[in-house]
Amino acid sequence: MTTGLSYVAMRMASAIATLFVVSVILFAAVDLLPGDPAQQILGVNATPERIEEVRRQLNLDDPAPVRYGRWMWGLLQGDLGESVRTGGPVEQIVGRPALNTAILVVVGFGAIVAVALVLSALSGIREGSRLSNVVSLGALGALSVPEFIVAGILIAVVGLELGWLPAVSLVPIGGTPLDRPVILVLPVISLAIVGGAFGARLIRAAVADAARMPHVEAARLSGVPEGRVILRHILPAAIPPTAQVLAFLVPFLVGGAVVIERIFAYPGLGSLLVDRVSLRDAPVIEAVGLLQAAAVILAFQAADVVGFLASPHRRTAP
Amino acid sequence: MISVRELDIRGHLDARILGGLCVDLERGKTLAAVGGSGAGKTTLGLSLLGFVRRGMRLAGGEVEFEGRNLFALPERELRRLRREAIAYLPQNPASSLTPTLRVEDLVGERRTDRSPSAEELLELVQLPGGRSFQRRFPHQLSIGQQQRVAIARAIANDPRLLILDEPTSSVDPTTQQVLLALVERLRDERGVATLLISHDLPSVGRVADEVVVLSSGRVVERGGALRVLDSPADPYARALVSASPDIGVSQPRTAAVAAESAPVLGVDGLCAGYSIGRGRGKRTIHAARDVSFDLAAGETLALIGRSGSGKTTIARTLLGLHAPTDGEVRLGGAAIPPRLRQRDRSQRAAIQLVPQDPEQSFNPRRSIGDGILRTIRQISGLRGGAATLRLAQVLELAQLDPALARRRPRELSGGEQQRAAIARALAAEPRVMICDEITSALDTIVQRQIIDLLKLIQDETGISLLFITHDLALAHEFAHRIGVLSEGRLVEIAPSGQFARRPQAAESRVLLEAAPSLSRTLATRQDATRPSAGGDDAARAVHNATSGAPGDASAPAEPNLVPGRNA
Repeated sequence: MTTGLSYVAMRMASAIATLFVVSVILFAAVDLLPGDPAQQILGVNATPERIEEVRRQLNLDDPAPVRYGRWMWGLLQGDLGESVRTGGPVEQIVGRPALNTAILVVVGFGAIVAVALVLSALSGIREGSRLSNVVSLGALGALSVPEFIVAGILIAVVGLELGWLPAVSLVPIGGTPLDRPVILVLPVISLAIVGGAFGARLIRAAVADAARMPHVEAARLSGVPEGRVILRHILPAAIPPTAQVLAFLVPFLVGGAVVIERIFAYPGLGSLLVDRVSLRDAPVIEAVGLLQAAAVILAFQAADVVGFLASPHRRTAP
Repeated sequence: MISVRELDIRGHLDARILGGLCVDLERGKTLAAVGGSGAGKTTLGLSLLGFVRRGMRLAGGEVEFEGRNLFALPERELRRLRREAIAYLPQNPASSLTPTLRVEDLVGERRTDRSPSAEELLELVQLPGGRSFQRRFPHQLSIGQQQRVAIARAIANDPRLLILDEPTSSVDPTTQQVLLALVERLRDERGVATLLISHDLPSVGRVADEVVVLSSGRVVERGGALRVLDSPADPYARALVSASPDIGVSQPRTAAVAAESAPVLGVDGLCAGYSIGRGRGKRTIHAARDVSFDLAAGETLALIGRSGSGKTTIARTLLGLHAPTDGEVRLGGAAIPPRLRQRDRSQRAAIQLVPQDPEQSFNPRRSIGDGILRTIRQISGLRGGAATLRLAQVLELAQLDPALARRRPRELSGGEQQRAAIARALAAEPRVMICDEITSALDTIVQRQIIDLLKLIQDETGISLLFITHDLALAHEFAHRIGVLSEGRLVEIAPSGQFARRPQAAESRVLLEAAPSLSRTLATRQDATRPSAGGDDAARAVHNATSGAPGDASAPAEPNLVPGRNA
C-alpha cells in the first residue's frame, strides 16, 4: 500500500530523473546549434589564432561529455556559469527576467483557471443545455485563433485606438511588473482567451463525464439538494482529470509567454531567450531551458499528486 | 398511498416503454413487479419518484402520491418528497454509491431530524456501526456490504414508500436475507409501502403481498403473490415462473455419458495464483490449489462456488490465458503446454470459451458474422465459400437467425449475443466449451432457452461442457456432475442427484441451504398464512377500477390493484 507521503516522494524522485534526461537533451541541442560562439564573439574579421585562443578560454575544444559534466557539476553546486557573450554570472542575467515571467505566468494561470472553471462547471453539469452548447462552441472559436493574433488585435484596438491600456509593457527600471500592474492586463488577456478556451473545453468534458456517472442520478433521486449534488457527488470525481488539464496549461503558458513577451516588449525569459539564441550564448539558453522544463515537470508531478490525493480508491487500502 | 394511472412512457422513435399502466400500492403492503429484461420494470420504479430518464418521455397518465401528481410537481417539491418520504435503492450498489464519499456521509446525507443515527441505521442492516466502518469508502466494502450501505442510505430518511430495484440480484445469500427481513420489518413496524422490482422469484415469493407481471411495458397478470407465483394464468407469466431455477423441484440431469471412455480433458494438481500489491504489501492470492478433475466426452461438469472461490481463474488457466504455478492440463490423455502461445492450432481449437459478457468480446464496429468468420479463418483455415458455409452451419447450430449475423453486437439482445458467442466458440469445432457465468446477466426465460440450446448442441455434437456458475439450482438440472470450489480448492465433486441428496463438504451444504427455491418459499408461506388468509388471494386482489379508491377506510391495509386497460 502506498501512503500519500511515499507517493509524493516517488513522484519527486521521478521528477528529478526526468529533469536530468531533459538536461542532457537540452545540452546536446544547444551544442548542435550552428555557429561557433568564438567566431560570433570576435566577428568575421578575427584571425584563426585569436579564435583558437577564445575557444581555449571557453573550453570549447573539450569533448561534449566533459563539457556537460563540468556544466552539471556547477549546476549541482548552484553555479549556472557565466555568459559567453556579455560576461557576468548567468544567475544575474536570468534572475530578473525569470521573476517577470513567473509573475506573468502565475497571473495568467490564475486568470485561465478562473475563466475555465467557471465556464466548464456551468456548462458541464447540465450537459446539452443551451449554455453548455454556447460555451462549447465559443471556446472552440477562441481556441482556433493563435495568441499572437489576439494580442495584435488587443494592441491595435484597446492599446492604440482606444488608448485605455498601455500597448507596450515596460517594466519600471529596478522594479517589478507588480509596481505597474496595468501593464500586465493585455498580455494576460491574450493568454487567458486562448488558454481559458482550451482549459474550459477539456475541464467541461471532465465534469460532464463525472456528471454522467450513475451515482449522480442516484443522488438526485435521493433528494440531495442540487448544490450538494454538484459539490459532493460530481466535482470530486472531476478533480483528477482537471488537475491534468491544468498541468497541460503550464507548457502552453511557458511557450505562449515567449511569443506574448516579444509582442508586448515585456522583459521576461521569452525576450531573453530569443536574444540569447541569436547570440549563441549557450549557458544562458541552457539555464532558461532548464528552468522552463523544471516548471513543466513540476506542474505534471503536482497534478499527479493532486489526482492521487483526490482518489480514495488509490489513496486508501482496498 | 401511491397510484399509477394509465402511465404511458415512450422511448426512442416513440417506442412504447410503458403502455397504459395502472398500479396501486397501499400503506404497509409490498408490491412486486416481475418480468424479463426490457419489460419496463425499472422505468416503472423511477416513475414513482416522478422521474423519467433521458431518452424517454412521459406521453400520458399520472403518478399520484398521497393525493398529488408527481409529474405535475415543481422540481423543488419533488426533491423534498424524495428527501423526506420516498426512498429508492438503485439497481447496482457498486456504481450507485459515490466513490469519493465515506459511509458516514453516504448514510448521513439522507438523514432527517426524525431519523435514527447513522450508527443505528448501519446496525439495522447488520453492519458494524462503529467509527472505523463509518470512515470507509465504498471501494473498501464487499458487494454485499455496499448493498447494505445503500439500503441504510435509502431508509435513512424514514420513508413512507420504498422502491427497491433488483435488490437481491447481485448479492450473496446473507445480504439477501438481511434485506428481505428489513423490508418485512419496515412494513410491519412502520407501515412502509414497498415496490420490489425483481426477477428473483423466490425473494418475491417470500415478501410480496401482490405481484404484477410486466411484459413489454404492459401488465399481463396481477394478483396476490401466492396465487400468481403458484398458478399463473397468463402464458408469459407461466413461462416466467416455470423458467425460474428451483432446487426444490428440478430434476438432476442423469448421466447419459460414456463414463468408461478416456476423458477428453484432464486436470491434475492444478495450482494458480496471482500477486497483488507492491513492495512490503505484496501478497500472493492462491486462486486454485491442487485442483484435479476429469471431463468425459459429452459430459457437463458444473463448477460452483461463491465469488472469489477460483472459478474464473481455473477457466483462464485451462484456456492458457493464465500460467499455472503447478499441475498439468491433459487433452485426450496428452499433456498440453500451459501457455496459449505454446499451444498449436488444434490444441487451441479444442478448448473454447463462451464469455460472461459476450457484447464486450465482439468488436463493436464489426458485424457478429465477421467476428465468427474470423474464428473460422484463424482456426479452421477455411476461406471464401467454405468459410461462409461453415458460418451458416454454426449459426444454425446456435439457433441464431442468419439475418442477425449482419448486425453489430450492440444491436442484439442479451440472449442473441450469447447465442452469437456460442456460435463463435462452436466455429472452432472444440472438444470442450467453457461457459463462464453465461446465464447470470440474462432473465430467467432467456436463461432457460440458452440451457435448452446447450443441451441440444451437446446431443448433436457430443461436446463436453465446463459450466461455471454460482446458481446451484441451474447447475443441478443442467450438469451431470457438480464440483464445489471453496477458496481455490475443489472440496467436492459428485453426480448432481447424489450431490443434492447427500452433500459431503460443509461448503456444499451451505450452498444448498442458500439455493433459491420458489416452491419451498411458497410452501413455507402457505403454511404460515393458511389459518387467516383462506385461499382467495386472487379474488381479493383483482378489483374493478371503480371500486376501492386509494385510502378507503374500509380496507386500510389492503393493496388495491386496478387492472390496466391494456392488461
